Amino acid sequence: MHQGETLLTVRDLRVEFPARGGVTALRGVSLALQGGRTLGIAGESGSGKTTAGLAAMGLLPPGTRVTGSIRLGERELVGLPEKEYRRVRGRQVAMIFQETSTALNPVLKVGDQLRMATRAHFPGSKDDVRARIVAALESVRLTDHTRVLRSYPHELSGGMCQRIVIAMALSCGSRVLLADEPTTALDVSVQEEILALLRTVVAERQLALMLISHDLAFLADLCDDLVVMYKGQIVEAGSAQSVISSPAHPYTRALLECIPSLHSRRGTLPELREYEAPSAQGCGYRHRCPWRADPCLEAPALAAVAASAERSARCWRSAEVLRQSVTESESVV
Amino acid sequence: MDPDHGVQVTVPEASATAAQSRPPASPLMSAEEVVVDYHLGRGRTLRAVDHVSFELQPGEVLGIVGESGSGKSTLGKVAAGFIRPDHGRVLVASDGSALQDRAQRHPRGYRDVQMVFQESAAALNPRLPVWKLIGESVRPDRLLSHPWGSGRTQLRDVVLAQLGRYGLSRALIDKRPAELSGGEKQRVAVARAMLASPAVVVCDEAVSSLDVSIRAVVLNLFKRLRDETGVALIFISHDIAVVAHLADRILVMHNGRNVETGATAQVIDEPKDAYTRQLLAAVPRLER
Repeated sequence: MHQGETLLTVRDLRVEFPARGGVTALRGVSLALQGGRTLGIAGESGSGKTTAGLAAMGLLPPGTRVTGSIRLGERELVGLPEKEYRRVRGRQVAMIFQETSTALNPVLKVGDQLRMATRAHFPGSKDDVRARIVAALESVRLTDHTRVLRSYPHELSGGMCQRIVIAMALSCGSRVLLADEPTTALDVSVQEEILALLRTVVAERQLALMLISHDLAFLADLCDDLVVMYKGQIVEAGSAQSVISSPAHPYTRALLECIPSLHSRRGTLPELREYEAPSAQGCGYRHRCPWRADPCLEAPALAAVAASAERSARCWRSAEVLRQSVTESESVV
Repeated sequence: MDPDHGVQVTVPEASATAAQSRPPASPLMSAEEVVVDYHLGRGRTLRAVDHVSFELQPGEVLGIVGESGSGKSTLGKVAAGFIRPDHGRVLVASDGSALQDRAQRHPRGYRDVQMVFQESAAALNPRLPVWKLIGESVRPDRLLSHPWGSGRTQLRDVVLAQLGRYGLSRALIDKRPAELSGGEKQRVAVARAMLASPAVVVCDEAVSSLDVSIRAVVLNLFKRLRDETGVALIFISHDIAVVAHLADRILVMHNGRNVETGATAQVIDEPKDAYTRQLLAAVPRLER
């Protein structure tokens, strides 16, 4: 929170899908993206993490009810007419998707696709456009431009395709980058390369990166700050390192425990189980929470965790949960 | 009413006793020098699996790790009998018999090895309800005579009685795949594989598209089924941490070749091959 200016601010964002029977995907989410920093958003399917990304890109389906505010610098994005959004999308906020195979057009050469994307925002001479593309390819460490630009997506490996998608996002000079599970479809060793690449571009270009994933181990590697989402709300936020090493919300603890690690093999993994029937009242995590108690019948707010001001959690007992996590992590060492 | 409806559900237990009584020296499956070539046209071929051999003991979990293109899925399909190797052979010992080329034991030789895929959505017929999806493998239409009878109601009851074992709620019995969550679909696929009472289940990236918490549930399910029924698993994944969690032995594939095989602890703690070390180094770590 020290370096870089705030590039994107989300305040109390609510997203409802009336067409899908009034499902509320986000219930008041606030976060900020800063230049040169990576914010991780963790959560399972249905937690609203992808919706948060799509909302910032203005890509939610028509008819979606969006309230709250998404500010890009001085500009309010919520309610921005589509015509104006087109100038923002790609140019100021860009998104990297999980499936490169669907993000790239299979019947067009990579060069043509990069050219179209770049020219949509920077209608310049052929040489200008090419210079931009080459610069972008170089920043994603693809040096064999001629061959890459002449290839069709199927002629390139998954890792190279993902680099091209990143290059496409960079070629238009966007400083806010949203990446939704950018490496899930890739092999572990390629994943590592893409992560390293993202780390370098964020530092080099002082980008603000929002990294969305269900895998906390993956986010721990790359992120400065971390937000954990559950049922459309932020349940825990703080610096990635402190959240991972000493979670203050029972859900974060549960998510961390069920990751198989190389060193704790062969045991039974703890499962998220239901202790009681889910209810609409009170804390949304109560029915699955081993820490539940009487106060949980009322919904807790996202509040600072006693120990430190930069940590917050949506739990009445966050101080106790944090203390327990700290004790456990100390006993391991 | 007795949920079992007088139906004897003995087959998985039977294979458990078979697994225990068989001396560990006799493998359940043996792949010998398997080679698979893919023909790319214009006379070009790609050797996907290059002289790979392995043995699978009863009740053992063999993990196969490697990246895309390493040949791990092709090897799994050879083990399941979907692909005939261009060279080498796969022997299966089913029903306590000696190792035999499975072609000679048709159809038992194929039915004995079941497969669970990554995309359960694609692996399940969207038009069938859960009881039919699972029931198909209990009574694959006149393919085998089965002691559980042929009546439709009875088959539904058999499946109903089994759902709990796979962590599925009984309320799901008439649901179709579109109405199930990802984890439920994968558990249906597991139930379908297990109710054919196989000796071996080949799981190809069976937990890769699941959320971490659901992945834990499905991994625990595999572990429990192995412990309870003695079924052997071939567990294929690109994620060595997931494989290490479940497997007794790990086989590492790289460019179609088997670069390292060994007990899990040995492969993880003292990897011999450079590529294995690279895979291990790429595992994201929570400890910083």
